[in-house]
Amino acid sequence: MIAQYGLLIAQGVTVTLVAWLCAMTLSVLIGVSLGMLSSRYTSSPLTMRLIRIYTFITKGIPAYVQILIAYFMLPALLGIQIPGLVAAVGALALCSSGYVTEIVRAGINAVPVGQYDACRALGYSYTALMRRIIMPQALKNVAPALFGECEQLLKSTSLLATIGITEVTRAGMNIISRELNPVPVYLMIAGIYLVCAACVQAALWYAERRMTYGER
Amino acid sequence: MVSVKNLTVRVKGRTLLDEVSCTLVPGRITCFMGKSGAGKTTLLRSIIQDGSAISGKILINNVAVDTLSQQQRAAKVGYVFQQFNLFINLTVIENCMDPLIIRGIASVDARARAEKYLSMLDMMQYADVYPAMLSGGQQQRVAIARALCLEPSVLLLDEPTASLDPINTGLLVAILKTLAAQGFTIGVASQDMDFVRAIFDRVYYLEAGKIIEFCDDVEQQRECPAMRQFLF
Repeated sequence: MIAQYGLLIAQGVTVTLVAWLCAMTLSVLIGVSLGMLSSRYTSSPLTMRLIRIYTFITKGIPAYVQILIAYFMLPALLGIQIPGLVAAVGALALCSSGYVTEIVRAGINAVPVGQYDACRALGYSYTALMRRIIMPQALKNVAPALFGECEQLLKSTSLLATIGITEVTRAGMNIISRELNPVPVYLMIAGIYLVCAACVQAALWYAERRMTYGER
Repeated sequence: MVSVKNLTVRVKGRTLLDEVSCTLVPGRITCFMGKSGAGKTTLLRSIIQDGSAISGKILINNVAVDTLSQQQRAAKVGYVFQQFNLFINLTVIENCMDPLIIRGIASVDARARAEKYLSMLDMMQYADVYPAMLSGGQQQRVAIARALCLEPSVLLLDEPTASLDPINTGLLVAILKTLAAQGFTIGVASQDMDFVRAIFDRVYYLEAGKIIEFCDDVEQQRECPAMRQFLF
């Protein structure tokens, strides 16, 4: 079966991985930026309120609905054609970024305020203290949650199938419709997701090992 | 030299310091005594501009502190926190080097300066260790070294003996006296009477945000009833 449908499976895996990596990168960029802006070290109540509204909306609407909005509703409203993969990646990234924002904000707020005080006393600028002291500690605090969100995002890529994108699940469904033998195909799809999840777990393990600061 | 003139600090309608005036002199150790909540920490933090609703004047070597940028102020005043606040994601030597590197000092020069002050405080053997692996006394010496790395003329310490055992307290007394002998202006907020008795050159006694007594020689000490019950 692999020999016969190898190309289709490889195409599906590639689409899944590309969608996942793009959505994850966007999600982390948005989430880290908004998380920093909404932490206790940023004293703008208006910004914090706007970010709260953003996370409420992006977390409150299911990823599936967001994909449908991005693929069907936005083109109708804006009168432009959005490629399926772009719409889906954008929707997944927005949906996930709400969670990443909350995770990063919690991580920053968990850094003892004394670290911030010491930075100010030593003349650190906001950018320097965030980049060199606060964020490394915050990301260490939230690494398991952040990697968990990455795993969740990987699994959410299966929703791309709903708008006709041939990612790995859709590729499997196509094979099933031709072969009428679902068991090995489902096992293969599950195996592919598990391998990807194992890679994320390995990355988390590596990151956690690198971020031990002499804890006893 | 640090001069504080008529400093008033109010936070959320509460007066933490009320028209406080005092002077910290080079080469001498100035202690601020008083019960918890008297305003000792607020006073020290005001000197590093880490407060709110401040009126009055604070001069460091005749320059108003509010005209200095944060970096300029940090280069003039070193501050050692009660909980030390070492950067837990950096090793001992990185803690000392990083404030220099963010100022654009080359890594080699920053390392040389960090090594100089860590050696002075006998902490060089812990250079590559993370703060979590150090005892309270060792963390404090690193905090002092980190503050000194910016080569300030003023060193402020907030409750420096709060988490120290008697041996480390003795070490700290020796370190502060050495630094004072080198010409540093040193300010210490403490309610540890034995420690203050061992190091003070001049003492201010605060109560409810006001300085109610001051003495800087033995004769004056006899005339300070509030301090006398603690110190003498």
